[in-house]
Amino acid sequence: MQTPIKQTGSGGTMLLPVLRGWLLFLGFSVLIWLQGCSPVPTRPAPLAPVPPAVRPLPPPVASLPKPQEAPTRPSVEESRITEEILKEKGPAPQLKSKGPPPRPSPGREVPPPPPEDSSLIAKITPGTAPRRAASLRLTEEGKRLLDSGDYAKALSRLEKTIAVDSTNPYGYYYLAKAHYHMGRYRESLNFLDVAESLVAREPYWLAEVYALKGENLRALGSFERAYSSYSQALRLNPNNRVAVEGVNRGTEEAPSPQR
Amino acid sequence: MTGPGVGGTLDLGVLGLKKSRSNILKVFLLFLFLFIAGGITLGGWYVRYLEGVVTAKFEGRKWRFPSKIYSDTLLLYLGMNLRSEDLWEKLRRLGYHEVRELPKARGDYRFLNKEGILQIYLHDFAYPLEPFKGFPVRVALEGATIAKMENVESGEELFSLELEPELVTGLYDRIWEERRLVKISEVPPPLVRAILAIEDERFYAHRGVDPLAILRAVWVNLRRGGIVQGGSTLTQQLMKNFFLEDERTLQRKAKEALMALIAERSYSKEEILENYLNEIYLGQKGAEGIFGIWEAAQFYFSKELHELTIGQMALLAGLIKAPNRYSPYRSVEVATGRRNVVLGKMLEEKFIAPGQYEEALKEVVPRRELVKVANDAPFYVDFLRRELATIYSNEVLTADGYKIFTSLDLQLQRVAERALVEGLRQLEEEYPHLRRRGEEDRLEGAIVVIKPQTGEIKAMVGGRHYQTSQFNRVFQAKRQPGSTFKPFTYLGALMYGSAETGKRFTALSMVEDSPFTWSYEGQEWTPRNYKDEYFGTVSFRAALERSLNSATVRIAKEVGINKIRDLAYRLGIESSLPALPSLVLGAVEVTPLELGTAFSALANNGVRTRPLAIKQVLNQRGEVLEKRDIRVEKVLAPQTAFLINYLLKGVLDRGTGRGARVRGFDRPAAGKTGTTNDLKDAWFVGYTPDLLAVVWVGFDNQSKLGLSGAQAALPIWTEFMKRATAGAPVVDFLPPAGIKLVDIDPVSGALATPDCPQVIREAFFEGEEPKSYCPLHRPRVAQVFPGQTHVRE
Repeated sequence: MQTPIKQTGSGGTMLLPVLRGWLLFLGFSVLIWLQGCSPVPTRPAPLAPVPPAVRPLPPPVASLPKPQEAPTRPSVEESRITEEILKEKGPAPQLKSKGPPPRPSPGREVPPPPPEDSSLIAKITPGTAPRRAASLRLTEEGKRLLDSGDYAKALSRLEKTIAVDSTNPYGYYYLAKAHYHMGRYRESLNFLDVAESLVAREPYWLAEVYALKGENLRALGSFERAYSSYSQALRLNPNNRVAVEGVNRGTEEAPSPQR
Repeated sequence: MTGPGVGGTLDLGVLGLKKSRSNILKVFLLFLFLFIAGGITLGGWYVRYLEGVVTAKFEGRKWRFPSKIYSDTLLLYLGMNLRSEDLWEKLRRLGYHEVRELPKARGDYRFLNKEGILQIYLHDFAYPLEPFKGFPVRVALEGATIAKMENVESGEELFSLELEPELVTGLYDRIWEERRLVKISEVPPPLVRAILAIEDERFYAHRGVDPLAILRAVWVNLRRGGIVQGGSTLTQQLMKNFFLEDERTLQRKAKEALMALIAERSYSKEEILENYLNEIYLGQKGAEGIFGIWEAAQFYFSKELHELTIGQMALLAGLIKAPNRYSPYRSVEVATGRRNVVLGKMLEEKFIAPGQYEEALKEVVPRRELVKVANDAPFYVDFLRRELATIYSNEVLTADGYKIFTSLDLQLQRVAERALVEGLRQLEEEYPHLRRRGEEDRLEGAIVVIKPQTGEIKAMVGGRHYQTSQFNRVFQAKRQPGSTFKPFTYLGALMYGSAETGKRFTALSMVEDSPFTWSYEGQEWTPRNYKDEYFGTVSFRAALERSLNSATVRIAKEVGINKIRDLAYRLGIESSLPALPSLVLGAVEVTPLELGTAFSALANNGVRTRPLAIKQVLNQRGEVLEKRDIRVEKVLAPQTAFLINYLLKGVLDRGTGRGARVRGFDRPAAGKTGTTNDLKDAWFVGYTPDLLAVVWVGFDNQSKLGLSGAQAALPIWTEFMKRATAGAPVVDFLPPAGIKLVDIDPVSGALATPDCPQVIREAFFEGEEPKSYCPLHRPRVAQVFPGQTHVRE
């Protein structure tokens, strides 16, 4: 005989597996019964997973804490180095002399004519260390990406140049440029700081560094400092277009309307 | 209203009925009716409930994509020196297989030893922003140096080549899984047919359960006297895989059968098949399970589904029944046998032609070794988890299939782990007092490796045995740095000079190393030297190289505590530092990671970089959610950085770190040993211009270690650096403009003459170098040698 169903359960643990078995049996019965009397409904379930909503971009990661007041000593050194470079005679071996002779600036030794061609590949000679060569090629690739406007890719490429050879100054310069184009002016200035120390002996590049510095400072609203940066660049390379424009703009506000 | 049993004293008075036989029958029928009705209702509910479960699994499952963590890429360039053993190991970790003939499929490589030619067919890889299609490459090696690289397909010569990142064990909820879902349309029909042939030939005919198969199984099992065959349909198997529970009870089987019926009611054959192909368990890769045919194709053949041959498809299909027994990694013979059975079935079911059958039989199942791919770096992953947890929830990370690109270098990670574990073991051997009986309170250590130029954290080992203790001492443990803090004082001295007298410090400045008391804000402090040895008047350099406490503290007093503290902050120490004299000797608490970051700024010529572990995070669609750039900040003039590095080089060449040289590490490097006053912590921080490593040794429970940094930490650092830098080009710190390097006589502190017996090359800020020559060493007697025309002065 069938077991009566107890309403008030006591000692139910013994009953549970039995209950389960019973339910299974019932389930089968119901299902078979249902199969017999209703058509098989097809529920259109989605095949392709619906991708979860893209999360909003996380807040920018906090930047490095700004250092305390810089001691006076390094800046004194900085200007001393610049002085020395200006007094250096003769161009660095790789720089090619092309272009019109420079306008003589009053009271100073004439700096060597800077090259029009700033190709980095040209710097690779048989004597170049493999890491530097690889780094320079990557820098050149990065530069091309920058010129074509693909800043994100350029950034990736240029970061590799430092990873491969951290003494490659041009890598830092172009990284600064990439950050500038992406609107990250402080980052750009940081990279330029590093580039500056590394290109101290190359007037052409030092001028580029100062010119870009000027651009960043201008974007940040420091027009006075921007002007002085442009002037420094101009003194090193009178043909630096950015510096020329920057100086012509003067220290006044209102950046030129077009551009 | 209960009634025990039938018959006897049934109180029908309650029902208002007279006790009679027909009435008893009526009540009984009523009960029966209620019973059956109740049962049906309950049964219906149960079915409804199971339906819900099945639906949830079908639709919920599709959402779980564990995120994947990738190591850094490896850039190969012309002229690069490859450490060969490293390269083969790396290729193995990346899933490349060595073949005997010319590589024709992605993932194959061949090395022609005599000619020094490496032929490799690169994998595809979806880099952020730039998907990469693999192509065959030819690399010519001269010894261990890359001489030429060529894209065989296009003939183009390559100057550099990037090897894709390695997949580090991912972030999973509970089970270790490796997945990529495929749509039914992406699966080659022969593979589907192979699986159906061997597992469920009447798949399209049945309704979820196949009575014929069950009957046949029962028959076979009875004849064989055991359970040798299952009668489950694909649908039933799918239900089983969904729940992955081990109890193989009859009840479970019945439940699965019921659910199979339910599933077939709600979902089409294609949907069920698709789920099946993606869920089916197909083997083990160490601790990870292989689920789904896409992963299986990758794991067993390193191929995409459409690249599989008939034979390979049959092999995969055959695995389903017992993936580990039939695995080609276990036994090629057994695997081949099973494959042939499947092929036979396919032929029988007319899924393949006799010609295809013959061809497939001829295919050789390659004999491969299941390489113990240890692609994990648990301490590093934990660190990543923490960083990620600040931005993403655990739910997102374990289900949304993100791709996380990191700075991790698995090669360096291996080397670091080995160095730490071996080093600690050797210490225990050499110093019995360090041994502990159980696993509690054992001697512990930590090592973190940073690339100074970029800030990338290349390796991180937070303890000697992750399974025993997951506590990550690299960034979670705050310990006293002891003498590793001294360089900040010397740095301050070089930069600021004496606050009291205004005098400048150079490497040659003489300082006093003798006991003294510092009165500071009403308190008195008398620092003691190690073993109470004092050296009297010593040079600035010697005081640092030999890590002399008293001399250092005197210098610090002259420079000013606040300046030193601010310098430490500026370089990268984040823990709060009290402006107290004891700061000078490192009586503060910092993590190894902080210390590494601060010294990185020195190694990187005064440019501080932010520590980078996560580089990019992509979502499933390949969109960049987060990119962490390299951030630099010039915190010291490069000349200052050069000077302190130049001084710290002496620590390794002559000072407390010279054990490194003795042990065979002879690259240009700078560093500092660290020992705390109470001998509870032993440190060594050391770096070349390219690589920095911090090692800490001690007890978690602050037991006394009794060893100095040179004794306990330096050997581990040395072992690590030797292996980590093997084959790399030798790089030295380059003096920037504004630095003068001159030959000095150490005794007089003046410019050396040819007669000075001891000459050292010292560095100075330009203008601070000695200007006069050494007065001490002149020959007393004028000597005239034959051939000389004049007397030497």
